[in-house]
Amino acid sequence: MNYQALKKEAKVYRGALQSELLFSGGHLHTTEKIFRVLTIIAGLLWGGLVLFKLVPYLLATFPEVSTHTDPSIPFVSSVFFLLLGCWLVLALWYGFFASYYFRDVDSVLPEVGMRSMKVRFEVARIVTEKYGEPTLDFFGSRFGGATLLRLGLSSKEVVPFLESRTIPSETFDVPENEGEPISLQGYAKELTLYDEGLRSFLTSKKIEATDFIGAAEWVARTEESYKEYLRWWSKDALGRIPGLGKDWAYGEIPHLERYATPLTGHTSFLFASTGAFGKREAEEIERILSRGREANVLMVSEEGVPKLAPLARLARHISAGTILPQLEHKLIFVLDGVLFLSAMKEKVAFETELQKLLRESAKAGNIILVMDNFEKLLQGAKALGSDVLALLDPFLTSQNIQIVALAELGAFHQTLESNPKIRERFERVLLEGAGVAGSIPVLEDEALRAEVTEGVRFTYQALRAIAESAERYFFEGVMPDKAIDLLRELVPKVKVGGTRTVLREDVLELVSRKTGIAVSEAKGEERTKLLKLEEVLHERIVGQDEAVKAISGALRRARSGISSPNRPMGSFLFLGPTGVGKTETTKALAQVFFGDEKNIIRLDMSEYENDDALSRLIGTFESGKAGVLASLLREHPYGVLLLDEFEKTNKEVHDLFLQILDEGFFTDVTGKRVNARNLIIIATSNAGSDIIWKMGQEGKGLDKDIVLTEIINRAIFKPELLNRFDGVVLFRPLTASDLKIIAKFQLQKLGKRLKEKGLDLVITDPLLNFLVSVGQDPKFGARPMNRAIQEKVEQTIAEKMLRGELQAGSRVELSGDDLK
Amino acid sequence: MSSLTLPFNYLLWHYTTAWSDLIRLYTNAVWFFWHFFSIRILVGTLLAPWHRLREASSKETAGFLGSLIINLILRMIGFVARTVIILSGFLTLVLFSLFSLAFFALWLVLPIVALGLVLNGFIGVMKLL
Repeated sequence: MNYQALKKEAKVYRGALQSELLFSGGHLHTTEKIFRVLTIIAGLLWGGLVLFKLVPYLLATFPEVSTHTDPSIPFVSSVFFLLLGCWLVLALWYGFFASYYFRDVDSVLPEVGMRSMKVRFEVARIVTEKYGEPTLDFFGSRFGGATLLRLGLSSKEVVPFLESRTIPSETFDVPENEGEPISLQGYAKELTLYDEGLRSFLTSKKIEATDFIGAAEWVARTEESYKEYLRWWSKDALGRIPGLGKDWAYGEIPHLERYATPLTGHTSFLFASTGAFGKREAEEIERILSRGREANVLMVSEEGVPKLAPLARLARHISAGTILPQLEHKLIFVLDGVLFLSAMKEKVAFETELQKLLRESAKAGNIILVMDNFEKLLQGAKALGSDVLALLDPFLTSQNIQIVALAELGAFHQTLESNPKIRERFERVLLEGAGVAGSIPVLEDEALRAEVTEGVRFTYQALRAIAESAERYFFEGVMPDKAIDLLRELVPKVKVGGTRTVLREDVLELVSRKTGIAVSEAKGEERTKLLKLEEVLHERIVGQDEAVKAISGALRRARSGISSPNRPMGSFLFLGPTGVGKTETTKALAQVFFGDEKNIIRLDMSEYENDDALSRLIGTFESGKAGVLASLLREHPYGVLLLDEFEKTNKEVHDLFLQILDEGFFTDVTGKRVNARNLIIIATSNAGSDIIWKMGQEGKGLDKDIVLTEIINRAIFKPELLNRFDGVVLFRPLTASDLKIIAKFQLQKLGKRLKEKGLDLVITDPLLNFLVSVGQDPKFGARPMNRAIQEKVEQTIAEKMLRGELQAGSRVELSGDDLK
Repeated sequence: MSSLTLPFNYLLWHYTTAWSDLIRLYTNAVWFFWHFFSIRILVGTLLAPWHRLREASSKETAGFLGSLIINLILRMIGFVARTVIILSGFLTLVLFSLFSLAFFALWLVLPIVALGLVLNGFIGVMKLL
């Protein structure tokens, strides 16, 4: 629909639009309310005075007051009529406004004479602004202004852009969706396509087009829920008022009420009113429950998913009357398995109470019984020696009661899935977490709540960052819960900082602080460090140019956020002989990326050679013990995972890592996911080091292909495993000159320690040459030399100190003779 | 669009479109009363026993005749309670409809009434000041 057509279509709202030229709808409504109250006060006053005059008793008791009443009655009555008249005018005016303003509301229950509109009020309001050009009109309207606020833009930033821009020659044409009115977000989307200047303006403010559209959508959604709130006379609103005598034809349920809570009174009922979360599941549950017999649902979800959300949606449909006839007037009661069990001490009490409760619910005939923590109820009952399923069975097949059991995914796989009775009686519904897109509407509601109570203001970019970071960096918990937690944690942090607006940077900063991963845009020192990463790494690693280059590239990719979020941040296989710097490189990496070289989770894979290796890593079903890798990664989800001597472990473990490298997670024995997406995984191996060594001896460059082919031929690693790594890095054997530099590094470190004792170590060339000569062992790289420094240099100095040859302030100069 | 034509547009609305709004308000309210007093359910279950209570006819209890009487009483209680609610519902509907009719009639002259009140009040206040 082009701009002229939009303008024409906007006329549907002409009354509201014309009113808003003088007075915004909100102000009109407030003024009307004020006059209403004033009129009532004046009316009461007038009535009081008249009453005073008519009752002789009052006249006699307060004679001095009565002298004033007579003359003031005409005045008060005139004021009353004036106020009443003014209020009537305002009320009629508001009625006029409302008649047009509420034309685009989406009501669940159909109302007489409500047609669906082609454009929403917000769009109509924009296109009837005075500028006559899509972009200008947008920014000139109150809805455009609200969108800007949500993007964290001030008018100071926007006005210069609007003044200097050239009007695009493109045509402005908002696509129409069948049955859907043109919305503010649709308009905003078209704006980003139509106006190239706007696009580059947004880019210059680091706002993506999707943020612009998302912010507009948020504004539109806020407006929509405000309208819903105002329209108390709609069928949707009136339908929520519970009626009289609806349950008279059903049984009484005192027992059930003692142990279970009605869902409408449950805390989670308020949650998940908006957005698409749980919608599909609610429909599925409705369909299953409407069947005549065996209408029972087993809803399975991961821990932390708001399981009651789809049921709350169902309860709303029931109370609004928009439900399949079989479920009309049903009451949903939530029975918490854990609480119920804890109230029962022994088998007999447990069984009688449960049976009473079930019989009563079935007799009542209008109960949907939700059994929360179903798996725990089963287990706990088993411990008491009772079989819950056998008790439930007659009710599961009954037409008079519907049962919805809620269970966690892990427990479901462990105990419930294999039970034939459960498979037969229940239909399984899987409830999935909301994901990023599904969480944003929930976050918007939550943000509005925080804005009202805490006086802060969220930008849309901040909300998106919350949703994305929660999904990417926090693996415990499920969306949208973990995103909401992050949002709530953010509010006090921002307030402490003294600002009121929550920006994307605030979110990223908090995430960095919580996880140790640098997620915000690299700035200042860090940026230079990243750009000169090769140099930084070379400060600690001698030689190994190829390795340093490969790692630096991968790190920069990870840090700029363009690497895949569904895999580990980086994964490398370091191949080479011992003592050539593989571990040192790993440490340097941890230092640069996580700020501390202690952020290394080290696993010596030579300990996992036997057949039980896999079960030790991911846990065993029999013992119920968690695996080493699973617990390590749960405790330290962020950092460098170092797998030493990776070739030594068995094939099963290799296959496990095949999955981890590919998908960034694995499933432990209890069926729970363990996240590995925030790790840099480094596997080291000296497989093929003899070939590498030979190549080094021959003075040729390293040929990776030959080394890898040989490794595959020797069946050390499978080719698909090698391919999964971001990089296979060869570490070449150290040359004499490399060793000399290393010796110098090590002596400098020693020198630093000696300096604290007041000694000054002089590093001389003969000393270095001596160390290289004793420390050069082709098989072990730099390790013998490190030992030489320890055994020879440190020991000699220690002896000298003990003999009193060295005092504070002396210079220590060692020659080859001293060390022999 | 100019605000000058607002009074004219208002009057146009008041005597045309506003009627469909009024009728919608009226039907919404009637719908609400109908559901609030649960008229359909209560009529449908008029003779059902109160809260599904039922006395079984066995020897330990009142026997056949006794349980028949008890069950009859239970149904009677239900019948009376339901009838009361249904009748109150209908009464509310009738009263509301009468009120609505009066209001619709008033609606025809409401703009004049409102302006009259303002004018009247204004003159009254000015006279006394």
